[in-house]
Amino acid sequence: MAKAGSMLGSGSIIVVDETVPVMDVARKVAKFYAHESCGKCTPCREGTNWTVKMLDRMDSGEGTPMDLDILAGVQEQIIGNCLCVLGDSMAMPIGSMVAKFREEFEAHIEAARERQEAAVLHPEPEPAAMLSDTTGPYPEAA
Amino acid sequence: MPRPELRTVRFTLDGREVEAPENVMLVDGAKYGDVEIPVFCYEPKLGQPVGACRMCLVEIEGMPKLQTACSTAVKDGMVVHTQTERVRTAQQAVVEFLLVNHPLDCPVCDKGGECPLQDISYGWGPGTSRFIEPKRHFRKPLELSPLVAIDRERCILCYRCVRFSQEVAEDYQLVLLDRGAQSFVATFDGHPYVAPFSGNIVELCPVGALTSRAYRFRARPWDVEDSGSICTLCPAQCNVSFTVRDERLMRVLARQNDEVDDGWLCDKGRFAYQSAHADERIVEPMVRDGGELRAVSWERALGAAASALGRAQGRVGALAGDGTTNEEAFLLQRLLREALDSPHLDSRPAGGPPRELAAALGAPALAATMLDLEHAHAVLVLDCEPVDDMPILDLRIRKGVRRRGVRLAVATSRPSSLDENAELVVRLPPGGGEALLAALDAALTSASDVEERSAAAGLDAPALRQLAALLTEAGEDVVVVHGERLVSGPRAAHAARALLNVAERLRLAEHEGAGLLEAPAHANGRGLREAGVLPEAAPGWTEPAAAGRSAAEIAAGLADGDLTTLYLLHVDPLRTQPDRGAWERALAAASTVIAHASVLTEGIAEHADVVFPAESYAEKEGTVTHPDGRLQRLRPAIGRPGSVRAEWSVLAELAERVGLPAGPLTGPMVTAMLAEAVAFYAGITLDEIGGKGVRWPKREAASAFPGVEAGPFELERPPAPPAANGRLRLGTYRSLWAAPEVEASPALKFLAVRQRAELAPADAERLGIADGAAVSVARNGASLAAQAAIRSAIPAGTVFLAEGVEGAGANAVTGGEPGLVEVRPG
Repeated sequence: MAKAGSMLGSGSIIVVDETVPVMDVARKVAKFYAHESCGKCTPCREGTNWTVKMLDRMDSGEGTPMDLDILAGVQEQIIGNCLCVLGDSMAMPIGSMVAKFREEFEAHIEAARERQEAAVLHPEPEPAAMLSDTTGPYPEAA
Repeated sequence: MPRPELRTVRFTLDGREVEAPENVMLVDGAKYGDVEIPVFCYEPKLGQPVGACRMCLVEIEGMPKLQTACSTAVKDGMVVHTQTERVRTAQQAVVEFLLVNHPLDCPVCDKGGECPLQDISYGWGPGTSRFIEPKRHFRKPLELSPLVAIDRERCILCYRCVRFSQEVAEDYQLVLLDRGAQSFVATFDGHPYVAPFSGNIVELCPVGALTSRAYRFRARPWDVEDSGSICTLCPAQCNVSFTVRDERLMRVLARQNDEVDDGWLCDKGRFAYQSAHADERIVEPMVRDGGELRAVSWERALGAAASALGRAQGRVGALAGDGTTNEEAFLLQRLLREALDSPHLDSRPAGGPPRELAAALGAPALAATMLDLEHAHAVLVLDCEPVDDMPILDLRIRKGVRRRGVRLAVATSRPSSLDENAELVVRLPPGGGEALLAALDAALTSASDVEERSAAAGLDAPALRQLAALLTEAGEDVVVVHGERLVSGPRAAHAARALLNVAERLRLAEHEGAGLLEAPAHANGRGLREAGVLPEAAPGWTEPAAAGRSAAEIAAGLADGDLTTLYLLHVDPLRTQPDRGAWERALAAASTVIAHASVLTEGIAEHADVVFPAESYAEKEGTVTHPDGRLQRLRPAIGRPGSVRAEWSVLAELAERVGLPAGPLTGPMVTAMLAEAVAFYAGITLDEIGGKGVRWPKREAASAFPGVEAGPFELERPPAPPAANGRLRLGTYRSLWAAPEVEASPALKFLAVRQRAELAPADAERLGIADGAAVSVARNGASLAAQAAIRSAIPAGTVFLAEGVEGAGANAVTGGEPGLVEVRPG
């Protein structure tokens, strides 16, 4: 399995059929690990956070196929450099998803771009402003 | 405890053979091969490495993954690569990751120019970033405390500040909240991070996330100069480096000296430099004219002082205190003894034991070092509070207990901040130090009257036996840390004999790593005594031609008219001496009071007739002696403001004006005179002292230390404490923050102490006093207003007041010895 670029470290298998977009799987996996990252070591803390931000951007139509190279590069930078294997657990599946499903990612990015352009030309009423989940907390001074 | 033996190992580093001490981490081992491995989170002072930042990844043959060099010890035959493509890629990856959320606002960042993140990005980073997403944002900068500003966007989450708070200072306030990329440093409860050592996190921070609010935006690294000296604001005498810009002190940084301060500073040492530039500082000589102090020329001030001293031949008293160098002390005693024939001078606020006993306590064989504290088998903290009396000692004791398993016993009257680290805590009644020592002596010799002696001292006999057992069973290296108050007051001689007995029983003099360490009342207490500022000891503990009066006797003599003139070298008796009433009478009766002072504290403002402006510690040149016998050198960092003159030259000129032959012309000449007069300093030069100091007990000349009375002594039974009759036993303590330098430093003003009467809950209830209520503490007609502070740890029947509080010091109700006071609401 390891040779195939997969990982069974957590002892679980997630079965996903072909109707589920690989982008959704990648985002789900990345968000899970970014949420679970303790933040102690740099590659995991920043790598998972960066990966989530990149995937979200691609999904929202702001990405380009070149981002996939950066995405793959970031995964390589995480693997093997962390204190524990949590970072690796995200980097290995995301990395292999990009490698094995690159075309699907590219199609998804393209579709998202078109959707977004259409939205710019024919805007729908905007939802109420929300605090972005990518910004940090604002702890109040005592 | 035996120090670890230094063995070396050989390993291969980038293809070269390197020899390094065994068990050092690879980061440090690589330095022996002139290879720098970049680090952020690694800081040996903080204890065990955490391997969090991943900056120090290296390749080690035989290990599949890259390893962190900060947490891998060098081993014989290890083959390490730090320059391979794989390592370089990993290092660049880590730098890129670290900069993902870093604002890169170097041009407006205080750390710019001296920033490890800048340096490492430049040296080991990829040079570019592929990150185009939004960075995380925090409100900034925020006050982490009134002293430290925090910019959470710049933080790279290296854990240094948190580790300092958790594992070094052990104040347990700083934590990392939240997790993952949202982690941020904060206090656990959201309150400001106020702690005695909080400023160290500014220096530890490898980025500009934690900055000193006193230094922010005041200077850049390229327009300042560093100047190494010694902080003389307390007996710890930490080695510091002053940052100077345009003849002004900008900040104080630690200058690591493992044998003195271990690279830490307390907040007083770090921020009280501001007092050197305070508006209220005296920068001109002053003479009282028509009831008011007026600035005058040096000629007039020196003339007035010299004629007053000349008139008072034989009837002059002198006190020397905080901030006095060995040289000034030497010249002061020369002025009094040789020129004025008036050997009445003292540097101990509450007196001390007679010469032979005092010298015996200061003997080289008995001197423990700061390093001994860390490597001892057991440490006994006796009647002092290290964090207030000598703050850096507190960190050293914590380090010994935490990292080396030193067994700690605390025997104090006031609950100590070290209680939680101690294996055994013995509470003694205020002023019960001598009785405790006598009982401990009995317990150590397995005498039969331990119970009786303990009961007389108000102590628990089983606890005393436990203490004796701990000290004897732990091992031969025992260090006893005690305050000056233990061997002062009217029964100082008895206390000194008891302490010498205990030292004898524990064989402190025989073992290299054992001994006594005293936290003196004044910053240079040891130096002042060795330089001869004592009524009955000339320089080098020799017998003077005539014995003089002690501090309390000087006060009495002035009040009676036996003495007419008082010379105060950095002392305001109303503030530092016990028994304020006696000193008020003495100052009022004195015909002339000559003072060296940097600010007009109450006693000086009201009573001084001639005031010479004192140099700040950053302007002084000379030497001081650390409580462990280390001579350290003060070097001027800035010029003197106004018409301030070197104080040694003032003392020298006064001596000349009252009839001594021409004296020293330069500072080093005074040091040479001192080295000649003090037999065990013989041959010491400023060059030898250098930047790290030199311990005289380790030099050959230490054999010239005068012979001292040898124990064991027959101990007199300490008198039973008087019956309380509803009154409370008064104990006093010195607060770190009760100092004129703190009051004169804007940054520290929020810490200036107000008088609090610390009471036990039971007593407070009985007296009908609520927490925070106004109370008056009265004794013999004198009273003192304070705010009640009810602390559950205070033993019932006692009340504690702080010494040295401006206008409200505990000395208003102390009569030289601890006694009973009445505490009333209102």
